[in-house]
Amino acid sequence: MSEENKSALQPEPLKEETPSNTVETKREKRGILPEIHLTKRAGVTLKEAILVRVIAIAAALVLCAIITVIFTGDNPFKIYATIVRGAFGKGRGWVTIHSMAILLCVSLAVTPAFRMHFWNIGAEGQVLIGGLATAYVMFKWHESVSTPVLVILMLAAALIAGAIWGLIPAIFKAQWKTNETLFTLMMNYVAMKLIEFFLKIADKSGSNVVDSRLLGNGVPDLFGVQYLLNVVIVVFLVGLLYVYLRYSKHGYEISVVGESENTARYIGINVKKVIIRTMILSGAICGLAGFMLVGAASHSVSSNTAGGRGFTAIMVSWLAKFDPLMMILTTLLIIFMARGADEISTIFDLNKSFSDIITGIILFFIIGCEFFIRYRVHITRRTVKEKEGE
Amino acid sequence: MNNNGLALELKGISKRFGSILANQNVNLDLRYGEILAVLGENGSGKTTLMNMISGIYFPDEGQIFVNGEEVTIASPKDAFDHKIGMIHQHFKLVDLFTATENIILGIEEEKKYNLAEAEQSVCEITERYGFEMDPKKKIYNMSVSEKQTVEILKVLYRGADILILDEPTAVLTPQETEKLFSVLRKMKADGKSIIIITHKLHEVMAISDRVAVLRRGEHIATVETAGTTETALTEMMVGKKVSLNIERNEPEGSVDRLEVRGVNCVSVEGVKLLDNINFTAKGGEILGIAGIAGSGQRELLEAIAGLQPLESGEILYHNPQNGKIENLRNKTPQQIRDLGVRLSFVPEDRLGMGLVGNMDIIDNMMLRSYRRGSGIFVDRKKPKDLAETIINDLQVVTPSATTPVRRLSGGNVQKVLVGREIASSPTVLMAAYPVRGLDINSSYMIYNLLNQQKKNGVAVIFVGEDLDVLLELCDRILVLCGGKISDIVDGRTAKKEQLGLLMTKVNGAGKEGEVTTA
Repeated sequence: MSEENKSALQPEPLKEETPSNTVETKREKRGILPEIHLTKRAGVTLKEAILVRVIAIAAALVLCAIITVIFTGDNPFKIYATIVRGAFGKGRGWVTIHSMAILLCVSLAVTPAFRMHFWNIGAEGQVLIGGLATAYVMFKWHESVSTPVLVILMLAAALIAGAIWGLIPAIFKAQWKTNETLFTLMMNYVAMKLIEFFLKIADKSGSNVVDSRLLGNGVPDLFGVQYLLNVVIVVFLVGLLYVYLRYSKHGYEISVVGESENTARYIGINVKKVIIRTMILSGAICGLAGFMLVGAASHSVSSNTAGGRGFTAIMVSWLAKFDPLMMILTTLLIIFMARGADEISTIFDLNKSFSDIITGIILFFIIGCEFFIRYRVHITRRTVKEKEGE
Repeated sequence: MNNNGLALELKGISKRFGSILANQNVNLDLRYGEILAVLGENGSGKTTLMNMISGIYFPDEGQIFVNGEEVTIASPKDAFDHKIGMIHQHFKLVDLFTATENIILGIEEEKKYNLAEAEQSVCEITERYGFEMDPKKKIYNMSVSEKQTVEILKVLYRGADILILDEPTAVLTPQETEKLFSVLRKMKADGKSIIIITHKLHEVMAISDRVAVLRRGEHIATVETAGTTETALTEMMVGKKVSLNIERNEPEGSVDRLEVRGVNCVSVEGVKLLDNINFTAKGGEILGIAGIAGSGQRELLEAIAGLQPLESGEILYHNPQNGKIENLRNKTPQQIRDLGVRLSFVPEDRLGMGLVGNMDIIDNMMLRSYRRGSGIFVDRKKPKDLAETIINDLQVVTPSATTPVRRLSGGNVQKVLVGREIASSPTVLMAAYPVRGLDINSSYMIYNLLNQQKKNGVAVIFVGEDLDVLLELCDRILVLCGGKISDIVDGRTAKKEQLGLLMTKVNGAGKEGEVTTA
């Protein structure tokens, strides 16, 4: 009985001091059970957020270095230097910027849909279909019409094709609430197969690429500088989308629908209309990326034209929290890593998989650290009575 | 076992979600073989507390003792290891499986999987406690009450000695409720300890041995059911009995503003939500709507706001500007606004419907006004001014106008919402549970705002749950019961008991009586 009284009384003075558990351990000899649990942070200062990210990148570099030494025996610092050289070394900068421009364009394309919480993972297909439309116009008319007319036709075809590829899943989502993720994914394969079909018709030799021999030279270079046109278009597009999403009525509607469909209904927003309108935009910008790739860069088309950018763009957009300006930085990060990875695998004669591992680790840390920005991890030491009556 | 006769004991349990304190220093105990009712208003932290016992959440502070031993419950599995089982409000069953398959799902047993044997033991449990259940029946063929039975059996099959039921009667008919109660009594006789969450007072009186009352996340008291009354419990639940003294002026120059005629409304499942609703809301008066939760209040307001399609009936708006009568039936909110109808609506779900939680106060102001102007760009200047006016006038506690509203406390969220709805100078103002979860001061501010609107000649429709408030604030009170109007009474002369009776009157039969008799 006295034992019970003691334990019943003990919590009282403790609460007055502090509820921390360390006091409990002092109080009685007890077995300790570590316990991890998470709580959501109420608010994070910019300083904390930056600090977490810096720590994450540093940790990623350290881990990569360890792995490099263990598996290859190479000097990790040399590897890092090579990554930088790969992206920005002599004669590489411009190509890197062009790669950034294309990826950024696709990322910008998926962003309005993502802000609406419409998980469009069909950018790959939308880019491909835009590229196919461009290629088809080139294939059909590159000899018969003048260049300006041809360019306008190519652009129109690409925009319309991309828009249709975005519109189809949007209609199904708006009318019958189908799952847009699966739907847009499947549309990718349809686009891919359509390209293969086109290749068969266009090139009887059975090649898996149709290039400028059959398509002509497409869009002439701006001021004679290769890729300049694409870069200019994308720079313009970044500003346009930033303003559209932030300051236009449409952009506001997209955010409301994304955050809460119920609120949107309550306020009288036509949710179906917004979904369809936004996906047309999203698809059309993907189509534009297809146009740039086929018409103004490679002058060729294959089922690999989009090259996975439609999926990488998802990551770019998420990492930037759907902010077009931030996306410039995240695109830079991704392209930088990808080109650097290519470089180290050639210079150090490493397997391509190794550079993928390095890229993977760095991205994992960068994305993973968002978790620590959102949640606080508590490692408490719960006390459990070890023995009765000590 | 050193356990003071307590099956479960909570000491100093606290839990916060971000800036919201869901439970604060809660102490609670459960004896062997008793039924403890946990009573509290919405948002008083009942479910959060139970989720911590059953391992869904982990407490930030405090200790849990089972059979006198301090334990760590970090997952539902831990809870089961301590023979604690929770029956959630939303069932977690596999539709295509039979009752037995669902019951044994996820149990790791040493022995071979044997369905026949499992069915046998399920039958034994059902017989022991008097359940009615076919162990071979598929879930998709079951009624809500049967599904609940499966959930309870699932917990019993795992050998739980402490059962937690989260609002089990919310989905049951009075007859089913009585059946459930008789089962619970048998379990109690068998030595099981049961916690039942509810906010229905008569059920508390009918089933429980003791009642623990929570208010705003704090444990107020635990009392013996036999030694208390519904009135005493209500006072504990809602706080000190304060004389309300809400100002109420005589309505001036009231004119018909909104006429609801023969409105019927059916849910997707074919259940009648609104049944022949007829009433007129007048400008310059406050029309109260009373009723047990889920009696059609939400559907009625949403029907008027153009969010709920009607089966039949008309909603007529008398436009004070041109004297025209507009039929709002089956019009979208946008179409209603285009007709020049100035209808404001403070919905029950503030952050899920009235506001966008992740947006700041300015952007939330824009919800109503962003379409103004012909350009393609939104004007943030006026919403910003409005946000600042509301923050000043209604004393909204916020770091700035650019703080996401979900970071604000409940009362401040409501001030933002009501402020915005009033700012559009409405002619009809509908408010659903506008003071739910608000402290006294914020509540009074809302009452004053509603009264102000009444003075301005607005037809105010106020859906409330606190009968005292309804009686003090409203000029007339419409009582809903099961989607029907039981009566419309004068707020100045009506009595609380009279309202209570009207609220439970279904086709003349007293709901309450059926539950308490057996």
